[in-house]
Amino acid sequence: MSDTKTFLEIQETYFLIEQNFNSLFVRCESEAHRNELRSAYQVAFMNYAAAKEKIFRDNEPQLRFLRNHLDNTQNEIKTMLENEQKIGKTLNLITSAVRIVSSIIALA
Amino acid sequence: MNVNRKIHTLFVALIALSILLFPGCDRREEGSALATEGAATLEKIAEFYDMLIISTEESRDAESIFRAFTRMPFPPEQQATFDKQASNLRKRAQLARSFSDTFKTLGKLAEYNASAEVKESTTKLAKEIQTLPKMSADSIDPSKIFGMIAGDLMALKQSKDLRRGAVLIRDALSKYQLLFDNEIEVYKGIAVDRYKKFNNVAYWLFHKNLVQSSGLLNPSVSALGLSIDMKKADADPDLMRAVESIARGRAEKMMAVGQMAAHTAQRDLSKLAATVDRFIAKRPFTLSEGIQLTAELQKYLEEIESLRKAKKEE
Repeated sequence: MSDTKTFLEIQETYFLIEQNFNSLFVRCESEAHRNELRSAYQVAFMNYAAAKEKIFRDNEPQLRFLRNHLDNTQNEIKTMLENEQKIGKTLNLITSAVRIVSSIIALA
Repeated sequence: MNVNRKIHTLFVALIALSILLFPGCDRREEGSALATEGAATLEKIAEFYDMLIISTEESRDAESIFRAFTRMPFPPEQQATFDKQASNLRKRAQLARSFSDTFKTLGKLAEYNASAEVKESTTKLAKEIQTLPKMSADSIDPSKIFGMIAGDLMALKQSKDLRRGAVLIRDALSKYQLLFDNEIEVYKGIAVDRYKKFNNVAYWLFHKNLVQSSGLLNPSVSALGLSIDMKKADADPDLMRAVESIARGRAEKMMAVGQMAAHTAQRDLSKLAATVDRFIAKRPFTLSEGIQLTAELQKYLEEIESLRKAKKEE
């Protein structure tokens, strides 16, 4: 398993979504919300599997920028989860985090 | 030559012979013990991998149930990630068993000249080493780790090669340890993954009231000679919350046991490496050392003899 910073960030994103999936799922207000959550989980699942097969060069400027962006987004998600803020906003942020991870995977 | 002198010479010759031969027998016994310990340790490592394969399969099944509860598709390419992990682990279990066989062959080498068996076992090991896939992209490449060791092991033919065999096996073992250490986080991660998946399933089972508390309550209650009104028990939300908490606690314990098993396997490998090291460090007398010792012994006996004579003459 990679111990690179990038891999650990990707792993954290997946674990964050997996760990909070059920509580978010029951908070979803519509099928569109649930679909957004399902889709984010599935992409995060595949991203995590793909990350295990990649080698990340942590110091590459583009990767560093995306990692910082991902880290900030994760922190925002955590705050929203703690405060049980609007589900729609939280789901949008989760989708953003997953998209950042997809960009990182595409770079490696 | 008088009788005493003849006995004296025979005595020296016998001691010299035992100095030269006995350590060889002793080495063979030690070699045999080392082979038994090595084979058993590697078999335990193989069983550890078997356990990880079961955990991976259970994780896949739990994920499948979790997705059914949340009406989320589980397409083949996503299922394949579990199958790939299980397949990589299966190859590691196979490698550990081949390594175990190589230790057994070392044991045969300790008993008799077993060139054909050594060749067969090491050829198998070499083939498996070369085809072992990486656990993840940044794991150490196993074929690079083991290098040409398998080829070197094939050169072993006779029991006199025992120490050389142990040196080669030690080299393979230290590289095997490197592979294990490099992947230990993946192994521990498999236990964490299963725990998370079990937790997800447990959440939905309780959330949808699909759980009967009897499985957890019956053992403690029947020990007191009591029986439970299951209908009332399952309808009691406080009791069901307690049952859920116990179930989650058990899943957590299973995770801890799984993670501990990885460390135990790592420790067993270190212990085996230390045993092989001791075997290598403790070497028998060489022929020249034997001759030197015999000469010193003869000199010592002659001195005693001359002292005896001197005493008699007094």
